[in-house]
Amino acid sequence: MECESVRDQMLDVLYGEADADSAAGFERHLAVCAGCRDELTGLRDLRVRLQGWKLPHQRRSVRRFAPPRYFWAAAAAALLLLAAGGALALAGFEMRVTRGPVVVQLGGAGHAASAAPASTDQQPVTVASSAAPAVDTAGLQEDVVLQRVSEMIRQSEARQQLALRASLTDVEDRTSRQRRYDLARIGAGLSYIDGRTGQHMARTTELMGYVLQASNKREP
Amino acid sequence: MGPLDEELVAAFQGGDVAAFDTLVHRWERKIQGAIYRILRSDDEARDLCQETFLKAFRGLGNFRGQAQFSSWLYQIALNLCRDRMRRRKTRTWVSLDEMGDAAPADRGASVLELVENRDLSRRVAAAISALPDEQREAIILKEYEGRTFPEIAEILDVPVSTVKTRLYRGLDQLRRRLEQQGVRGSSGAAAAAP
Repeated sequence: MECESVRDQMLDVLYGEADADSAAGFERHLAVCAGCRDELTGLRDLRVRLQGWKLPHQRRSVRRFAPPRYFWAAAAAALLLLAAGGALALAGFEMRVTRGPVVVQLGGAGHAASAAPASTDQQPVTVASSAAPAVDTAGLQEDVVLQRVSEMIRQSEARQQLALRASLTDVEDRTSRQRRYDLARIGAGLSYIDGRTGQHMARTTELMGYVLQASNKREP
Repeated sequence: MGPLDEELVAAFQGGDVAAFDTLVHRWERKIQGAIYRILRSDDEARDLCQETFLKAFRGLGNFRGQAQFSSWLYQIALNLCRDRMRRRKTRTWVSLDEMGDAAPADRGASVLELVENRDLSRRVAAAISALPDEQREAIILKEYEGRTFPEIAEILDVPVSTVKTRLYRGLDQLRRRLEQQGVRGSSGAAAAAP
């Protein structure tokens, strides 16, 4: 009866959750009760065995909940572009591309102004505004804009290539690790089977030896 | 040592979604491991772990700290496991996942040790799986998740004395089963009964 009453204390002691008084009381009981001493030893032994259940390799299951940091930068950039576009639209922004010069205009079509092309081969850009005097934007040639766009596309592709390469390396790494693990397990299994087969063969040979010996003895 | 769970919960409730990622990072493996030990299926463990955190994400706004965050997570995970077990009804087959109960290969271990570890792992897993649900949950939370008795009582929503009774009965049954199977304790190795 007394042993049952100290069972809770035994579990507290077993898992290291007993306070000093409880532990001391249980120790006093242990000193006079061989059954509880055996019980505690058995439970400690069992705990060692239970630790033999290891988890297999775990793969992560949960993706990020918060968007990645660059998401906010991209979102902010998109918002800025949208705002800028809206502001230009409100200001009556207009852009025309013809065979002649590129005409960028603020404040409505009535205020458009254009300059003569610098040469017949190139398409000069002329900016005219009702609010500001015309500015010479010879540096912003169409070719330059095209070059910039091409450059941006090229950089973006390079970034994607890098990301892809990193991802491939990661997959390769994980596959390789998994393969090594699988091979080790297969190897272990084969060795085990091999060992068992060898034992069986040895036993069979030994038995055959006994049988032969016995049959030889019986022969006159 | 990063911020406490409670601080991260408060940050999340204040609008910092990234705080939840930190909580996920901190608890994902533990929760997934506990689910795996209950269901013994890697796919289901990942599936339910994801669902646990999804439920937590949706419910954390209303979480008022009535329990520890981790206890609350374990509660969600256990409820999902129970639902899954009910749907499964009885398990009369051994899945390929169960065959994977073997411990990960230890580079320094000999072949014999590898085989013995795998055998022990499988026997212990099978013995725990055969326990009644209540005892199995108590043993997994105590033995493998390292929760304290009051925490387990909180998770299972029962008094501490009930937790201890379930645990003791479960350990008692396990000891008998493993001894019947000839699993030795002192060396930590497994051996089939002759």
